[in-house]
Formats: sequence, C-alpha cells, structure tokens
Amino acid sequence: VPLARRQLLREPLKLTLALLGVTVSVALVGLLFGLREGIGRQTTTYPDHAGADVYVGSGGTRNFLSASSSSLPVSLAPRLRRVPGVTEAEPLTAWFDVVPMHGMKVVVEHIGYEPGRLGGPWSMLEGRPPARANEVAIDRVMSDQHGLGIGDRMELQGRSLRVVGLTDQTASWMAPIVFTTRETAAAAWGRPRAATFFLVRSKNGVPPGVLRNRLAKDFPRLSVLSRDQIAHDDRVLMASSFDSTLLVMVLTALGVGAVVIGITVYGFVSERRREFGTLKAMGARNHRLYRLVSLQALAIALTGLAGGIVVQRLTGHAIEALSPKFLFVYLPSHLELMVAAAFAMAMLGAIAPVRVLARLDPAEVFRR
Amino acid sequence: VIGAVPLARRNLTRQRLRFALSAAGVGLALLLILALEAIYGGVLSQVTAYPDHAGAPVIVSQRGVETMHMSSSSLPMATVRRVRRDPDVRRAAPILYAPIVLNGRAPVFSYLIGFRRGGGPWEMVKGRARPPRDGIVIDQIAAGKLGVGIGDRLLIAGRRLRITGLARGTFSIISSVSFIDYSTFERLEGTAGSASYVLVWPRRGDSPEALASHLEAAYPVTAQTSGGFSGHERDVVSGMSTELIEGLVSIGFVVGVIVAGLSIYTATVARLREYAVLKAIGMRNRSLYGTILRQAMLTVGTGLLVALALLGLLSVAIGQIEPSISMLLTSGVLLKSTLATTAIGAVAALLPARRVAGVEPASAYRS
Repeated sequence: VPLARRQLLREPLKLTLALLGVTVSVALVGLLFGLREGIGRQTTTYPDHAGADVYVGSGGTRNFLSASSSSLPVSLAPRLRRVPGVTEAEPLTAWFDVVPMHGMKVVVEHIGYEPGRLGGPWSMLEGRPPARANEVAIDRVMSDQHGLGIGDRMELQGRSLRVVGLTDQTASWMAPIVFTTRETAAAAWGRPRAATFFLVRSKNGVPPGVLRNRLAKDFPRLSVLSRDQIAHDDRVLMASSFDSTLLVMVLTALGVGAVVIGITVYGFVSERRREFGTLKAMGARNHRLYRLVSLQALAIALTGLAGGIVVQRLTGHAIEALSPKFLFVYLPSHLELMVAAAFAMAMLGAIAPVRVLARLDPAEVFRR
Repeated sequence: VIGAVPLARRNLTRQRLRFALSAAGVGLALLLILALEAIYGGVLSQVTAYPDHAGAPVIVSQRGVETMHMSSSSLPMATVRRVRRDPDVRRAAPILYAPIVLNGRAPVFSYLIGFRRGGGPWEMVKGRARPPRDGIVIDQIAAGKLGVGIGDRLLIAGRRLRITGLARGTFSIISSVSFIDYSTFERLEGTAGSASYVLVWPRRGDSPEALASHLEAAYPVTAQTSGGFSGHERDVVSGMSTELIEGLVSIGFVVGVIVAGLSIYTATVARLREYAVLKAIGMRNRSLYGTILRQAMLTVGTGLLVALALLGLLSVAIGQIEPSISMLLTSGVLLKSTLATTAIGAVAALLPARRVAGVEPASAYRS
C-alpha cells in the first residue's frame, strides 16, 4: 500500500502550501547565489571587456575597484611602450563617483580614457564615444532609469558634461560605467598629469603572462597584474563584503524550508496516530515507519526543489526585465547547492515526526 | 460558555511540538526580514562613522561633492587657506582622502585619511593615535582580517607603512577607516598642493548651518554640516541598496505568509470535529473565524518573539564570527515588522476559514 503517497495527497491544500514553502525557500537560496555571481561578474565588467591584457598601477595595488588610490605619472607611457612585446600602453584615469540626479545620489564608475585608444567603450548602442573635453557616454540602463538621452547634460564633480553616447554591457547594480576623455576625468580628479592605471596590450604571439612577467621585472616598484588577476582580486574583495550576509540569509531560508516540511509531515503523523499505532501493533518496525515519513519529507523537498528551480529562473528573469541593473548568473555548482539544501531541509524536517513515531505506543490503537 | 473558553490558545497549546514548529517557522520567516533590515541599519549607521566622529561641525569639499563614500574631492590649497582665514572660522583642518584596499590574509576596503591637526582616529585600542611618517593607524577588526598587528607593515601605493596604532569604531561591512600623516599621504599619492576636504569649526556661539551657508556663498566649495554630510552618505548607500533590500524583504513576507498559513491550516484541519461540535451547539461561523484569527495572531505573535530572540542570538554570534557586521534594529523596522506580522496572520487565517465554514454540524455525531 503506497501509504506515504496516499497520506500526502489526501490534503491537497496542505500539500500545496508545504510545496510552496519549500519552493520559495529553495528559490531564495538559488536567487541569492545567482545574485552573488551576478554581482561578481558586474564587478569585473571593465577588466573583462576593456581589451587590456595587463594592468600597471602603483606598488601594492591589486584591485581595479580601488583605482583612485593608484597614481602614476602619465610620462611613464613611453617607457612602458618600449618594453618588447607591448603593442599599446595607454593611461587611464578611473574612480567611483557620486552623481546627483533628481534628488538621488547615483554612484558611477568613471572611466577617463584617451579617445581612439585602448580602454574606451566596447559597445555603443547610440551616439558615439566621447572625443572632446566635457563629453560623456553613459550606460543605457542608467539612461533609461534617469531619463537621460543624447544631448542632455549631467553634472559630475561640479562640471556639466554633455551626453554624446549610450553604451551597452556597462550596467551594474552597484555602479554603472560612464566614459569621458582622460583629460576631463583627470581635471575632475584634480591630477591632470597623473593616471590611475596603464592599460597594456600585448603584441600578437606574445602570451599575456610572459608580458606581465617582463613588465614586472622591468618595473619592480609598480604593481603589474594580468587581466585575470585583477578581475579575481576584485571578485574576492566584493565577495568579502557580501558573503556573511548571504550566509545568514541562506541558513535562514534553509531553516524555513526544514520547518515547513516538519510542520507538514508532523501533521500527517499526528493526525494518523491511530493508523500508525495499528501498523506498529501489526508488527511494523520503527525503521519502516521512519522510512515512510522520511520518504514523505524527501518527496516534498524534491518536488519543492523542482519548483524552486523554476521559480528561481522566472523570478531572476522578471527582476532583470524590471530592473536591468541586476544580473543573475547561474552556475552548475548553484544547482548542487540547491539539491544539497533540499536534502538538508528534508532530513531536518523529518526529525520532529520521527520523534513522535518513536514514542508512539502500539497500545494506543486499543484505547477509547 | 463558549466565549469563556480560550479556544484559540488551547487549540494551539494542546500540541506543543506543532505549535513550536509553527512559531519557529514564522519566526524564521520574520528573521529573514529583521536580519536583513538590521544589517542594513547597521551599515547605514557605520557608513557615517567618519563624519559623525571626526569632531568638526562643518565639512567643506570640492564644489558639487557632498559625500566621501565612493567619491573623490579635491580643493586647491589656496582655497583651503582662504577658508582658514575667514573671520567666521575658528579652526580649519584639511584632510586628504582616498578609498584604498588593504591587502593581507583577506582584502579590506578602507578610507585612507591623511590628517595633521584634527580628523584623526577618535578611539584607540593600542598604539598611538598620531601616526609618524611612514606609519599607519588601522582598525582593530581590519587588522584581524588582514592578519597583522602593531609593528607589521602594509604595502600602500608602493610604500611599506608600519602599523603604529589600532583604532576602534572605524570598521563597517562596506569599508574601514585608516589614518596616515598628511605629508605621507601627499608623498604617496602625489597630492601636494591640494586637500580633499576641510574640517571646519565655527566661532563659539555661531551655528554650523550659518557657517556652512556663508562658506558656500563666499568660496567655490560645497560646505555642509556634519549631520547633512552624514545624511548624504546614507543617501548614497540607500540609493544603491534599496531595491535589493525591498526585494528580499518581500520574499521574506511571502515565506512568512506561507509558513503561517500552513501551520494555522494544519492546526485547524486537525480540529474539524471540535469545530463541528461547536457549530452543533450553536456557535456561529463568525465566532469560529474569530477563533481562527486569534490562533493565527497568537502564532505569528509568538513567531515575532522567536524572531527577535533569534535576532539577538544572531547578533551575538555574528559579533564573534564576523565583527564587520553590526546589526541595528530601529523602532521603524520594529513597527514595520509588527505590521508585516499582523498582515501575515490575517492572510494566513483566511486559508482555513472556508474549510471551517463548510463543516456540517451533524458531522460531529458521525463516528
């Protein structure tokens, strides 16, 4: 007799609520991991797309996120270009900035590059990249969000800049990227003859790793980082700010899912004490009854897992559509974590009903 | 007689394990909301640590710059001197500022402050508050994360600075604050001839608001009271995170409704025979709904207490494991959570109401 299934299906509303609870909990776990990965990807948008193989900054610099603390003289460029294997070495002035917009404060990542050289926008949706002083190209999501279009003006560090282009693939939850000429950026930064980084591209056939080592040897007092290194360090830095909060949220969601399963399966057991008592009186061993409730818990968890994956994807897409500055990236490891979370919920949720069964007296069936 | 019997409470407490599970479930769902709000509240209070504690009633910055977090400000020394000589200014202390990353066992974001007279650390744990040339004062929690202590060196902008002091109250989940000598900062960052901000004290009896307005009108600068500056700092963080926090809080609310609904429904369905008996002896549907609503409110109310207790435990545990996270529960958040709890209870009570309304009184006499 398929007892586990029959008991589960007898109360459809209760089962639906339980499945909803587990589904939302699993989806929340998945969304949080997807968001974390998305934030990581957005954090490294610039190094991932700028086209440079190597980044040169002040000694000790390891992150693009802290670009403004790196300061190098622009006059370093010719020396870098003379290193064998270098095809381009361009100064870049980059830092985070806060832009006042209709009463809000919007954080942007301000990239000042040499027009026509390495480091400018990689995907223009409309208009053109900035070529002269006091011109700016802004991210398209930022443009939509704040009603800024080509020809409009925005204020940056007390300067009025004219929007000449809208860029794509530059959105970020934390800080969308805006591009100006390096001259504009350096003047706003207050250091016209300094750059925060030099972007270096290797000649065809020269592996970036070899070029990085060569530059590090020639400029031992500077920080020479491959694109992968700087991106990795930025992700680690960003994760260090988010991971503890994420862990609290994931563990709480896990607890909620386990309690939902616990309430449901406990309900089935306590409402059918007499039936379980009869089974015990007929000789059913405890471990068989434990298996029964564990199967119920597992069935709820696995169905909730399937629902959770669907809800996670749908919710992620809906959030991205409504607010494109958010990005959810799903990795196979996230699925593994969600499966592990569902199993953990099932096992934890089965504890309370198993305790009831263990204490159940077979003689109870003959009372009343 | 029926009215005298506390049915809702008895229904819930008769099966204590079920009630405990329900309260725990609702409590965990509310914890999702409360923990997030408390962490966010902590971030908002910590992000203004520097302007709140630097001691200056007025902060002057580059025109158009109103914040420090993720910002950059540069003032020519000529402007700083003019502000200093202003007859309404009692004292003016320029500081240099750059956001940096301290690298060690783990990376730590930090505001690097270069100061001379005023604007240094306000509470020391160890060492000297005033760093010598090539010295640096960092937060004690940052030191723990970096795996360094007094006497160790940190590589900053190509120069190895020796840790000469450990400060307290200068760390948040977003950033810490580190302090070096003003001229060391100038050498490291090549900022000679400029300052980032100027900390300004008005003459005795003058109001900071009036001084800020006067400075803004007289010089090409932005001048704010420290309170106004802190408010703008909070605006930056809020602008970045509000949507995210609201989204997660909504998920917590949905989870709360589901868990409370499930537990109230389960508890009600288990007592359908008793409800039939009550109907058979003349109890109206409306009274039964009232009983269910009370059950729901008792469950979510207990859930709220569980959530607050768990939040207290979490706060202590996090303080031990991850001291960078500080939790701050404001009265506004508590009020919001109580309203959310009430709403959750009301929605949850609707679920079993139809089932009870459909119970036939005669079913009480069937075996």
